[in-house]
Amino acid sequence: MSSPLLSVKGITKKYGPNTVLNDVSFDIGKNEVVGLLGDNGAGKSTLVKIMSGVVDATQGEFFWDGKKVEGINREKTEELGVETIFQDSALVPQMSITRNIFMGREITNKLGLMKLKAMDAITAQVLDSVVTIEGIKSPKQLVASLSGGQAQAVAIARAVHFKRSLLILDEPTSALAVRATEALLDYLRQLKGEGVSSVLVTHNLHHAYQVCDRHIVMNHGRKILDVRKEETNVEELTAAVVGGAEGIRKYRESKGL
Amino acid sequence: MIAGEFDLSLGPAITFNAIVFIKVSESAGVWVGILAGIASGVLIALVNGSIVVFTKIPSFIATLGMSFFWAGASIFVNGTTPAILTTSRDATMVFLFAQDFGSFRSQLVWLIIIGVIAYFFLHRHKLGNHMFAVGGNESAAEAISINPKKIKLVAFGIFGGLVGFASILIAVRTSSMQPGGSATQDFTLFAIAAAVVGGTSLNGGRGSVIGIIVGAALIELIRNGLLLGRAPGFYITLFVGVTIVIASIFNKLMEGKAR
Repeated sequence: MSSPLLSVKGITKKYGPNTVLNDVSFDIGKNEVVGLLGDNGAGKSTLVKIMSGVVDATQGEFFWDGKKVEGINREKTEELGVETIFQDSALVPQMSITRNIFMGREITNKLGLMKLKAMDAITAQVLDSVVTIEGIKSPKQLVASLSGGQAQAVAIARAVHFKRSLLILDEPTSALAVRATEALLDYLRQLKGEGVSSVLVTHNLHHAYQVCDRHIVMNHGRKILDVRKEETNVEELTAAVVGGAEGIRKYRESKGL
Repeated sequence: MIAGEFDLSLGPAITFNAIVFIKVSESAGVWVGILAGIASGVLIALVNGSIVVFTKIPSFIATLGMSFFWAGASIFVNGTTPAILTTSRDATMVFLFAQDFGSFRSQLVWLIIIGVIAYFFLHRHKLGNHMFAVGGNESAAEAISINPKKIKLVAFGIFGGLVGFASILIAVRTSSMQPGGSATQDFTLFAIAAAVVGGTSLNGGRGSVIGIIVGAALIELIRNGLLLGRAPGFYITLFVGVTIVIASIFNKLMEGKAR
């Protein structure tokens, strides 16, 4: 078997006397959609920040494609192809879709001047082929004029276009209407076909259950469950998110497992 | 302002830069003086910018405090008597910065040159694009690995160079500069007013070179109109103050519409 895309081993994070993450290890396979679940304060966001290189772990190891990566930081994760879409803050509302897609990765001539026409053309193509987003009129449209769902889709299209290998979505559905959520979950399914792994961080396990191949449940900084979709169901995940390790034990007892 | 910060020490910085320009020109010639004036502007802005960027103090309070500092510093280096351009204000200097060509002056030529460069930098260059990104949504820019600190410092540096240049224009036109900053304190207000009237957002992320030039022209036009109409001096500040507030309200309404 080939090595997983990303492995973290024994991640511990302490803020002063508080241990936010306690010895967390897991893998994210190639072309896999992983749900990272847990109640508020379970340590999900800290884990996301560590994976995207924004925050240093107190302890722990980081492997990419089977090779150990030392001193993980934002530049290294950028190089490896990790892209994090933080809720509500992935795009700049006052800028056009094109300028958002190419933000930080502009196509320029030797003087550093942007080739806006070429960028618009590519954007139009991306919006047409990578993810089909309804209701977008022009690449020059300002992101402020898009709905929350459309904006998330643009952020995802950007990650796909630049061949990012791991996409981390932090609570992408929490601000979306029902229809937009459905559309977003559809994009995540499409992503697998594009060769992108993704981590869906959410406390809404119904959304996660629809698209994820595997579920990791966090509770008070510890990983308490790591199961493939086939081996679990919504009830067990609910028990884990709500009741922690104790919840899982009770659930399994009640089912006679 | 587009990158999300502003500098309230603009007026006193003009005084300081102009004094540096005048003193160096008098002792070492025009060209060295020009370099010194611009360098002084860049340095002041970088000091202010570093305070804002590294301590994360809002630029409002940090640069307000620094404006008093630079006003005091100008007295510290020059005493309380005005710095005057005498022998160094030769034909070259006048031709470069204050020549009257009949229907226009050299300042207009500089406005066009700098306006065009600024337009290409801000709206076509990737660094300009990064400034809009940082001002519009700092965390989004950071997530895509743009360094907001670097971009803001670059913005402060460019701003400082332009202030330095403006100080030279003012110094050559008036031939002297009174230390203490009171002579140039209105420029802070005028500069921000011009930007806001021209559609620049006080929250960052929105604005344009053409808008800013039109805004500045509009304010100057009305200012001159009031002067020619022999209106009392306080009408001008009164008017500019009202203009900033009204323009901000319009900006706010437009931003609300865009969302």
